[in-house]
Amino acid sequence: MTTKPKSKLFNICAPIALIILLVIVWQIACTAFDISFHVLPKPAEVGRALLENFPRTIFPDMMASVKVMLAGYCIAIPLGFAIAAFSSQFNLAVKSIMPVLIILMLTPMATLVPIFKLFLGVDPTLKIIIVVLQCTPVIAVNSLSGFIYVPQAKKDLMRALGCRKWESFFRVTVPGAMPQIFTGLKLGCILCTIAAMSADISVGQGGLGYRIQVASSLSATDLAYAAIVIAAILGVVLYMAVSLVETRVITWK
Amino acid sequence: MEKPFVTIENVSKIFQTRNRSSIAALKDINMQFGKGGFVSIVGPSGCGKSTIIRMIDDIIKPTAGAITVDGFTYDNNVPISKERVQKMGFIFQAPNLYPWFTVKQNVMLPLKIYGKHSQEYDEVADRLLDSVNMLGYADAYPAEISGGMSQRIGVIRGMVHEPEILMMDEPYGALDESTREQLNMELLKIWKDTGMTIIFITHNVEEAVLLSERVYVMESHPGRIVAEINIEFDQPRTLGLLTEEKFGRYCMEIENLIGKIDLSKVK
Repeated sequence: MTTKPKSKLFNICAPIALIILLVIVWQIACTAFDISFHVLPKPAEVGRALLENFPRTIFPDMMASVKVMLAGYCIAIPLGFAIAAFSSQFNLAVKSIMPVLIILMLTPMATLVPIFKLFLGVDPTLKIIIVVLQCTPVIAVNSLSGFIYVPQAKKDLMRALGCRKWESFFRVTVPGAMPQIFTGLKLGCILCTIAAMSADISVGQGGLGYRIQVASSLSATDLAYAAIVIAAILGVVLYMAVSLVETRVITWK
Repeated sequence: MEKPFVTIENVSKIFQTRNRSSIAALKDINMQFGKGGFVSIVGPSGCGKSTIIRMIDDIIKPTAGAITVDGFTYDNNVPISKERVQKMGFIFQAPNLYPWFTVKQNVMLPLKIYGKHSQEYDEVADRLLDSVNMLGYADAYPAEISGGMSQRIGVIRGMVHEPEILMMDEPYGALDESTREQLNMELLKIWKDTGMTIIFITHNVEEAVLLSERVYVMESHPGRIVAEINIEFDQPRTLGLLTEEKFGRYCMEIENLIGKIDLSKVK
């Protein structure tokens, strides 16, 4: 019991210490090897660019990306869950949909942007569609894996208590599949960040991905790296938020 | 003779395996259980003992035959209603606890499903937890208690909603001898106090003779009844019976029946 707070503090401090160490190594390497600003600016220069550009450029782009990420993710969660819940009720659906979901999961959806542009034009919702298409399959695949591997004995108990299929599903299958569902949600939020950035680059019209592309093309690599840092922080914050919900939901482990 | 509470008439069960072959688990089973009786079913592994009570509790359906409980004959294609199911309690071989519920929430699960939320039932749950020395672990999760403790929770969960029929599928198999004897005595007390009909599946012949008024002996491949033995001891029964000569004779008779089955299988 007494070691628990210590280990918690250690878990937080260890990665922060490693990040600080890497930034120091980055700063020293840039100076020692005289690396060009256009290839890899020093962390101090990236920091300066971040502070100077945050209010006018990076913050609006960050908010644009956050909106796309959250909108896409919030649509992908119920959609992925519904696909998995429905499919899990039919053996044929499980067998047929699983390979399709895996193919979709592995397809980089940003590559479809040029095709979607043909139908939708350059529409802001196109970015959200990309995020939804990228996140939904991974949430569905993991949820479905959880739904179909609930032990028969657990289902038998529900049957012994007179519960029908859907009651049994919500009382046993869903809680039993929670670890896999959260694996899907966490993978989903990683893919959500990647998809949002890819969509910014492919579609344009603002967002951190767009800013990275524009800054790189103007040789403003310090600004590009600053935007990358913010994109990474967004991904980490979303991942941590989902992990926090996971610890609140899965209290029994 | 008193009208039977549970009747099994010409029931057969055939399971389909994954490679599409058929296994006859039970063939032409006929059984009767009187209201308030304590009947055990003994027999070798795979003789279909568990399948019989699983069919009575409507977990699985028979391939042929009829099951009647309290005057209601089951439809072999449609699950029976929750109102009828809640008259029955089922105790599994394994504890089968849900890891996301605490010990008490697991015990209260049947009450939650049947919408029985009164203070009275809460007290029933506490009393049962106390009877198996688990009241102090009410807020623990299954991962935090031992296998034997989990098994005791699985046992009391089956009876918390005060069913009329309690089916017990080798419930004490994983427990040590002393806990087993303690729970057997507790079970006899609960049976006497509540007047439940108990159908008890066991491998343990002594346990069957000690607890039951009647014992069905089964044979396997396919599962069928080979003997029905009335155990004529007065109530209440105590562990002192174990040393009586008559007790030994009953055990010998049943063991001989099961032994003959094993020998015939060797041939």
